[in-house]
Amino acid sequence: MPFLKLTDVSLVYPMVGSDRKFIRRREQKDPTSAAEQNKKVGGLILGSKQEGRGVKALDKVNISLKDGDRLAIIGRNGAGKSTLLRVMAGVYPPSEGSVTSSGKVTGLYNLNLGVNAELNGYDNIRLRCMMFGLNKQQIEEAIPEITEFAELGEFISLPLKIYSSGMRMRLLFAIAMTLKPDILLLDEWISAGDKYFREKADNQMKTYMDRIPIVVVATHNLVRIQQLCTTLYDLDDERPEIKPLSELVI
Amino acid sequence: MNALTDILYGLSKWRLWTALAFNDIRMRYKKSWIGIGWVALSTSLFLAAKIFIFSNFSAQPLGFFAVYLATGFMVWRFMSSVVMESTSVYFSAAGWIKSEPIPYSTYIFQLVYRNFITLLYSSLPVIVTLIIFQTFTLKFAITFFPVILIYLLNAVWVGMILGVVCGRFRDLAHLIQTAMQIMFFLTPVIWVASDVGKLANFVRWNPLAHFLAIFRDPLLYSEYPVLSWQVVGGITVVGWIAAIFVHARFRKQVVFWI
Repeated sequence: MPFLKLTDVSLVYPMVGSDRKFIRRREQKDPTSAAEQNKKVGGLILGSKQEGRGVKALDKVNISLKDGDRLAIIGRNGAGKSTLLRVMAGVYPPSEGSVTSSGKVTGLYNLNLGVNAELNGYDNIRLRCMMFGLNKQQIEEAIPEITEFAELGEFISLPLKIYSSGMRMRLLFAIAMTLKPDILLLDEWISAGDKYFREKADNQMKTYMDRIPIVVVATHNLVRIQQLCTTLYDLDDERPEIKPLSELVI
Repeated sequence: MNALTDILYGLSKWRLWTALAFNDIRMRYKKSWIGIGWVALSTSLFLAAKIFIFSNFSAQPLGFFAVYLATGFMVWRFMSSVVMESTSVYFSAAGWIKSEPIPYSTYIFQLVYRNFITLLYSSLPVIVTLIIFQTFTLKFAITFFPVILIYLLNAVWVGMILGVVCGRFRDLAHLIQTAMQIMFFLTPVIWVASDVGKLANFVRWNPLAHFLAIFRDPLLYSEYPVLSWQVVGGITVVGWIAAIFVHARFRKQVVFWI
């Protein structure tokens, strides 16, 4: 059974190399006015000897997900939504706490990551499928399904650098849906694509999504998560915890 | 995942790293007619020019010098590009590292494999040189593969260490790239140790010279350089121990540095 469990997860992005100049300069300034400036975004800049130097993006996050869970993560810019997804994916190691999971994970973060823009659609499909762990035969079987879903026509044979962002999105979305991961992580992805593709995705999304045991979505789009998610985790809360979506105030 | 699992799991993803390496090469020679043939072609032109010019400075007979330079240059090019590319191996893979939780060693194997393919192509004109000067023997053909295997084994630990260390300390990457250019002149590639008098005494302190010797000496002097094999063997063992330590201790932080 797929599951995903985060226990007391904290994450500090370290500042290394010449970034440290910033911290040194900052130490000479008045710390209270600095804190005031940062109020409109999330994330805490750490700059003292005791707490280390870096940006604290996550602070003691506890999340436990099991088969059938559909979680929406919300929070203002810098609250740690994308960071949290990357921790769930195993891309970022937590600074403190632990992440345990079972099942294959795939994530859609942004259009420039996890692709090689110089390569064409087919090559990118192959690479992503290989990264996911499919063998040669499984990849060849997946290709028609992916190209059919993405509906990119002849563009599938052209390098991704000439794709529009909507086209890239279609391709990556089609790959993720076809891979049938156990855990799917989406960063602001549910509102992308043009009207035509969105209607199609909407129609097929439910069928596809139902096959995926655990889905986590980080977003600002509060309307769409109501169609997709059942639970909510608000990083702006004083003590964030998983709660039913019905507590969401729009 | 601990460091050894990371390395073995990465190794098992050979389809992925061979594909990534092929894509690198395809991209490098994209839209060119000759494609990867450029590796062989540029090596040939380089060798011809260097043999033509530098054989005049050497007391050695032309045949000896040509073989000496051709083999030395081929091995040097491999060592030098492995070291140079290792300094940025994780930066080049940043787009994948930041999105896919696959073992870090995958990118090291990608780098080594890419350089291995280049080495094979650049060996073509070298083999031609050996045939022309009648030094291509069966004995050499047999020793070729163990030596190449040793090179690949060393390339992996170099990649694992430099990838992490230069990922953290950017100045080191620039320093190492400069140092490699200087090392070209300090390593007997275009000059023969016996031609340079006192300078020859320093050659044995240059580890890269020993890496060259295990390839070149059997070919040119029909003897196995015992000292060089001992040095290379020692470096291989120590390098791997250090690499496993560095890989275990620091690789997970790399994602924050790139």
